[in-house]
Amino acid sequence: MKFSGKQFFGFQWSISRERIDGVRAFFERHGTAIVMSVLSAVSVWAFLHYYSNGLGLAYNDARSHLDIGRRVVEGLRPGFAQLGSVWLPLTHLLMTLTIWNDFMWHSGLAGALWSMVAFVGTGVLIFLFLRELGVGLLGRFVGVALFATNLNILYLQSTAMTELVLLGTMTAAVYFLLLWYTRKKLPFLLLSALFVMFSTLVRYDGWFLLFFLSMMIVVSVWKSGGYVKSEGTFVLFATLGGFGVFLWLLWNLLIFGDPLFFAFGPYSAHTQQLDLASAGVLPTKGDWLLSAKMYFYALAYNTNAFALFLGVIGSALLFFDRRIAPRARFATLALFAPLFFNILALYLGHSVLFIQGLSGDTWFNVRYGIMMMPSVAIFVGYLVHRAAGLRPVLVGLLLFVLFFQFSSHDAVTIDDGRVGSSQKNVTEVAGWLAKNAGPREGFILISAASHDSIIFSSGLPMSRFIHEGTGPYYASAIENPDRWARWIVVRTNSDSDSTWRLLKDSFGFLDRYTKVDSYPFADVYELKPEYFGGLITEPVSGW
Amino acid sequence: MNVFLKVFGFSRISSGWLLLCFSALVFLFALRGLPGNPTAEEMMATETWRSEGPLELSPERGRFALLYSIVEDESLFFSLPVARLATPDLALNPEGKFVSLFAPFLSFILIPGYFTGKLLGASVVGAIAMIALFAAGNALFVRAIALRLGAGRNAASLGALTFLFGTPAFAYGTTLYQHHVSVFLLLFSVYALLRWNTFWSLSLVFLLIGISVPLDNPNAFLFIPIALWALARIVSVKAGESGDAFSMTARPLLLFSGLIVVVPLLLFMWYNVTVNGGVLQLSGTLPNVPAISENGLALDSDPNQHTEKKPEEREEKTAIGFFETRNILNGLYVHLVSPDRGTLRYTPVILLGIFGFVLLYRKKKFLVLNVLAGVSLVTLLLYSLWGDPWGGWAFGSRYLIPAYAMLGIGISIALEEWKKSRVFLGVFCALFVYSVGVNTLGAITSSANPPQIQVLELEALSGKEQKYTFARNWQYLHESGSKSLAYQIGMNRRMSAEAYYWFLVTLVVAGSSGFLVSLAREKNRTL
Repeated sequence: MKFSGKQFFGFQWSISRERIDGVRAFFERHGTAIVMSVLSAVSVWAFLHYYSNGLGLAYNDARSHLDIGRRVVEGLRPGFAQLGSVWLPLTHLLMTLTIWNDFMWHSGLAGALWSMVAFVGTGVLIFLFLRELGVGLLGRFVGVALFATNLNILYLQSTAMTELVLLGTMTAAVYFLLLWYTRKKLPFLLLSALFVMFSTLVRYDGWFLLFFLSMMIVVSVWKSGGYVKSEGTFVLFATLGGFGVFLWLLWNLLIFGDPLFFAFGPYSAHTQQLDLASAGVLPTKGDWLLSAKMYFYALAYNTNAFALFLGVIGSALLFFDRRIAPRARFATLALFAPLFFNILALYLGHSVLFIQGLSGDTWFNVRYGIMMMPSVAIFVGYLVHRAAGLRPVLVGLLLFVLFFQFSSHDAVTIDDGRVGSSQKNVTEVAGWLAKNAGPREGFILISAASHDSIIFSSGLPMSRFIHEGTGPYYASAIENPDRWARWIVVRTNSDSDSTWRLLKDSFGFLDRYTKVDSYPFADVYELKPEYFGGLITEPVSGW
Repeated sequence: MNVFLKVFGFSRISSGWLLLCFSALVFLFALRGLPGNPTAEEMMATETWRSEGPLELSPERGRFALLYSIVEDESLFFSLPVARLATPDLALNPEGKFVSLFAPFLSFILIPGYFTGKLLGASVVGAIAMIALFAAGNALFVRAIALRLGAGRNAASLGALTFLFGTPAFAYGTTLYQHHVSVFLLLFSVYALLRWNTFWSLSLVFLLIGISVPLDNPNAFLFIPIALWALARIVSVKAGESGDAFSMTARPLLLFSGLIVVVPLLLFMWYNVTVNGGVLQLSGTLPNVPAISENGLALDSDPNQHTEKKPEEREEKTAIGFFETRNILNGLYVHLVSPDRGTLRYTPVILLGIFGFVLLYRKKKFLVLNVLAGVSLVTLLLYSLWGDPWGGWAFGSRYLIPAYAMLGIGISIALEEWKKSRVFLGVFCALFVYSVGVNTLGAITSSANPPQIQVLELEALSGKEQKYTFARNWQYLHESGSKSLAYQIGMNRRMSAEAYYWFLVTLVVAGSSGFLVSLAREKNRTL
C-alpha cells in the first residue's frame, strides 16, 4: 500500500494489483480452511444457544432418535437389534459412539454432534462446488454464508434430527458427481456412490437420490459412450450406491422376517399415512398441483422466499451459461433431486406435510423444505458471481432480509417443534415418573413407539423401561403385568398405543392397578401395594 | 430560475414545459376535494368530508388531523373533535393525550397549501393540491433523471407520464398520503447525485435523507441505497488507468456534509420527546385508539366495528417488529399478482421498466443501476415483510409507488432503445392505455378498496356481494359518481361520471400519444 500524496480536502492511497492478487491468492489457498473454521465456530455457538434455551430437544423425533441410539448401548436388551425398522440406522449408529454417556444422551449432543459435523461439511462442499463451477471468491462466500446463516439450518444442526446428516451426504454425493463429470476420473464416481450409499442409510430421500443420479449417469454415458458403456457405469455406481439399500433389506429380513417390514409394518410411514388418509388429512395424495404448492410453501418458508427467488434466477442463468461446460451444467441437475422427491412423495401419499394457513392451523414436517437449502445457496452464489454489475444490490438485499430474519426470529422449523404437530410437551408425565418412579425400584411398562419422548424426558436409565424392543420382557409383562411392571404408562382408550391395545382386556391390568393421574399424552398406572410381593425388579440374566 | 430550468431540462419551449402543463391540467381535473373550510366538528357531523368525501380513509384523516391541529389549534396534541376525526388511526401518548399515529412531517409540509386553500375558501383542497404539486415534481424528476441517463426528451417524458398516470401514483396524487413526498425526496437525491459532485450537493442529499425519516419512518430503509451512494462520494475506490493498481480516495471533509442530516433528525427527536414521550418513541409504536367514548375516553375497540383488539395487538409494538420474513411470500403475491393490489393487474405497463434496467446493465451503468434497482427492490421487499402489504383499504399497491418511479425511469431507457420497434411500441401502447384506464378510475373515484381477505366478512355484514378490485371503482363511478373537485363543482352538470372518466382517460392518452408519435419519428441515438 502506498500513500501517494494528498489532494486538497482528500487523501489517496494506492494499492498495487500484485498486492490484491496476493490477498486473493491467500483466500484461494486457505478458503476451505477459513470456511471450515468459521462454520465450526458458528456451529458450536448455535448448539450452545439452542441447548441453553431447551429448543434443541423440542422435536419429539429428536428425543426418539436419541433413545434409539441409547437403547443400542443401554437397556434391558441392548444391542444392534434395537436399531429397529422404519427409521434408517446410520445416524443412530453414529450416536452409539458417545451416547453411552448420560450427558451426551440427555443434552442431545450425541446426535447433534453429527448434525454439526454435517453442517460444517455441507458448508465446505458448497464452497468447493461453486469453485468447481468457476465461481469467484465472493460468490462462494455468499453461497456459504446464505446456507450458514439460515436460522432453520442453524437450528436443525443443533438437534439430533437427521436432516443435516442427509444434507451433508447428499451434497457430497452431488459434489463428487460434478467432479466426475468435469474431471472424468473414476474415483470421483466411486466417492459419489459412497456418499449416496451413506445417504440411503440416513433417510429414504437418499434412495430417490440413488435412482436419480443413476438415471443421470445412464443418460449421459449412453449419449457419449453408447449403451454398453452406460450399462457398465450404472452397475459400478449402483452396486456401491445401492449397497446400503441391500443391507437394509437384509436387516429387515433377518430381524423382522420381512425385507419390506420397514415399508409396510405396523410402525411404517405407510401405515401412518393410511391412518391419515382415512381421517381425510392427506390432501396431497393424488394431486400434483397441491403437492407442488405445499412443498413450494415449505421450501419458501425454510429458505426464505427472497433467497429462493434469487436461486431460481441463478439456476436459470447457470443452465444457459455457455461458459460452463455442458457436462458440468448437466451435473447440477442433481441439485433438484430433493425437490422432485418431496413433491413425488406427497403426491403418492408417502409423505405428509401441514402448512399453517394452507392445510389447517398447524405445522407438521415443514422442515422437509430445508432439503433444497444447499442447492439454493449454490444457485445464489452463482448468481452473485455472474451478475457482477449487480453484486452490491444483491449482497445488500440478502443482508437486508437476513437482518429481518434474525430480528423476527423467523425459523419455521422451530415453530413446528414448539407449537406444531412435531412437538409433544410431556413435561408433566415425565416429571411425575422422574419424581416418583426414579427413587423406587421397579420397571415401567411403556410403548416406546408411542412414548419415546416420555422415556427420554423422564431422565431415567433405559434399563428401567420395558418396551416393545425388550423381547421376552415385553411379552411377559403383557401377559402378567403385575409381575413385571410397577408402573404402566399408556394412552388410555387409544388403540394406537400398542401397550394399551394389548393390555386393555387383561385381568392383571385393570384389577391390580390404580390410575395415578391423567396427563396430556398419557396416563400413569401404578401397581397396588398388595401385589408388590410378586413383583420382579431386577433384569433376568440370559434374556 | 435558469438553474431551475436547467435542472429539469427545460428549454424555451420543450417537452419539459409540455409535461408540466399537461400534468397540471390533468390534476386540475382529477384532484379530489370540496370547497369549504370545515372545522373538525363539521367534518365529524356528516360523512360529506369523510367516507363520501376527500378524507375517506383514516390515514388521510390522521395526517389532516395533525395539520388541522397545528394550524387551527396551534397544538401538537389533538383536541377531542380532532381526535375523533383521526380515529381509528389515533394514538395515546404516555400522558394520556391524543396524538397522531403517523410520522409528523407530512402534516408540516402541507401547511402552506392548507393556508392558501383556506384563503381561497377550500382548505382541504389546498392541502391536497400540495400533494399534486409533489406528484408533478416527481414526473419532472423522472424525466430529468432519464435524460441524464441518455434517454431522449420524448422517451423521458413518456416514462414520467407512465409513472404519473399509469400507476397508482395517479390515485395517490389526488389524496392526502405521503407517497409522493417520499418519492420526491428519493428522486431529488438521485438527481442530485447524478448531476453534481460538490460539498453542497452532498449536503442536500443528506438533508433529504434526514427529512425522509420524519416523513415516513420506513424511508430509513428505502434511502439506504442513496445513503451508500452518497457515502461512496466520501470514500471511493477506482482502478488505475493501466490496470496495475487501485486507488482509494478519501475526502474526509465531505463527512461534514453529512452533519446536516442531524438537523431534521434532531427536530424529529424533539417531536418524539414532546409528543410521544421519548426520543426514539415513534408515533406508530404508541398504543392505538380505535375509538373514543361519548365522554372522551379512549376505547380498546370500536363498538361500531364489533372487533376487539387481539391480545398480540395489545403488546408493546417495536419499530422493527412490524417486519417479518415469514410474510415475504404472501407480500410478494399481494404486491405483484393479487387481484386486489397486484402490479400485474393495476399497472402492467410499469414492468416494462425492467427492460430498461437490463439495458442499463448492458451499457455498464452499474452505479446508478444498483441504486435504482436497490430502491425498487428494497421497497418491494420491505413492504412484503410488512404485516399489511395491502396497505389497509387502498387502491393498487400504494407502497410500491417509489419502485414505480424508478421503473418509470427504466421505461424511458427502454423506449429510447426500442423506439423503432413496432412490437415494443405496440405492447407499450396497449399496456399504457390499459394502465391509464385502471388508474384514472382510482384517481377520480375512491381509494377505499378492501383487501380480498376481508371481503367475505364484509359480504356477511352487508348482505351483498362486495367487489375488491378496480371493479369496485367502476361500480362507485356508476353508483356514486366522482370525488374529483372539478367534477363536483361544475363538470357534473355537463356530463355523467362515466363520461367524465372517459374524458380524462382520453385526455391522458391523447396527450401522451403526442410524445409517442414524436418518439417514433426520432432518429436512433446511442445511449
